[in-house]
Amino acid sequence: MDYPTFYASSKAGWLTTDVEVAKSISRNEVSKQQYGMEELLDAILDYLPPPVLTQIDSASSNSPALPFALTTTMVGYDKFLGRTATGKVHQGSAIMGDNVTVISRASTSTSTSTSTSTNNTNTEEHKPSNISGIFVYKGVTRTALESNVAMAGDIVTITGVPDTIQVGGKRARAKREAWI
Amino acid sequence: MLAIRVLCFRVATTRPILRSYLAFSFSSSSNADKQIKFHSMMRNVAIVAHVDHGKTTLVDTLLKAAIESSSSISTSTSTSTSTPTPTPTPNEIDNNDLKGEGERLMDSGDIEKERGITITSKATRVEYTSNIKNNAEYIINVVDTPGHADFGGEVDRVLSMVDGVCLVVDAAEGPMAQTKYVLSRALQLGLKPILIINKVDRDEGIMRIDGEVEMEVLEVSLTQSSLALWKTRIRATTKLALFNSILSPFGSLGEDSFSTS
Repeated sequence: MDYPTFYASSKAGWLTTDVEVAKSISRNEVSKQQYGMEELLDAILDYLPPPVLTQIDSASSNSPALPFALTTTMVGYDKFLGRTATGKVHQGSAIMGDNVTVISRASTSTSTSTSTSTNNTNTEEHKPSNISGIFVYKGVTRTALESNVAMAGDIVTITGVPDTIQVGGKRARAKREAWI
Repeated sequence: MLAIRVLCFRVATTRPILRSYLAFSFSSSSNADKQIKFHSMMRNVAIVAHVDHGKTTLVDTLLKAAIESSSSISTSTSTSTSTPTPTPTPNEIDNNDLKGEGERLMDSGDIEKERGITITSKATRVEYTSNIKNNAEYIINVVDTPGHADFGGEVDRVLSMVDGVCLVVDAAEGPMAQTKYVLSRALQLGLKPILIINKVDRDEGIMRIDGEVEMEVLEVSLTQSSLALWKTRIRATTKLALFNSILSPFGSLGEDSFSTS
């Protein structure tokens, strides 16, 4: 097991890798001023990899522009915007006004061999709709994405999705690992 | 017989119910370069821990630190170029919001505020300008998760979105039941952990950071990682052989016995 260890008091707002420094700050011997949370943010940048992109649509993996695929992790509702879906964009990118369709788990597993884009979706279950907004949360404030493009690897909230959308749960890979 | 029934039941219940995707085609040649740059400047991380070990407070301080870092850099650059920009950036607006809200900003729901717990997981974007990385602006998506066992499903879902976890452990309490659960889930998914021993400044905390908490966490992580290895790497057939040799009182079982149909 290899992992970095930090000592922190998130309430007081300091963080350090050195246990002696942590003790000194706790006893008010050293000012906490120079031991900010930036160290953890830098560690996240250094230690964690960029998002792993799982290619959901294997049939089109060689083409430069993959179809947009977002796994829904959280579903919400907004009084003005309607149904919202939050999740990680696994491949491709989307802009406002793009046409999207919900693919249920059952329909993806049966149609991987057929053509790539919206044709292989189960149109009887879910009608296509247009993305009316792409948002990200900063703190608790929802703000429109500046670039207006939801790109692979990002976690975004999109609106204009059909009401029938359901939480997708985990990736299939994660599910298989879970049993026994 | 009971053991086999339980096993079959577990296999049947872990079948996923529904999975939703949104799919469509989108093609642009310049987009590919943008995507590569964007991808390398991005991190997704979840904050996981036992109840009341300080996840939400940590996210608060992370947000504040990121806002301060980016605003200090923007002010220093504006003074050097002698053309001050009076228009407030989105980060400054956020900063004002943070000051107004006080503690536990991420717990936005009414019940969450009342009870002081997190119920739904929340993804938030931290735009961080790193001093040691040539002042490049990175995007870190931080996902705050609930600590209660009742909302364990939320944690599971969130872990499928991220590539690393910040495991927060209370120095006084050490690793608890949910610490073990979330760590085992994260390791099964192959996520990288970062350990944060929290509440070090409390009296109970100072006494225990001389290696006691570290050893406890190491013990838990070693146990969970070997379990994760068992669950992911070792093939089902090996387990079947072991099951036949040790556990089954009815002689050998075929592979059909484990089919979910």
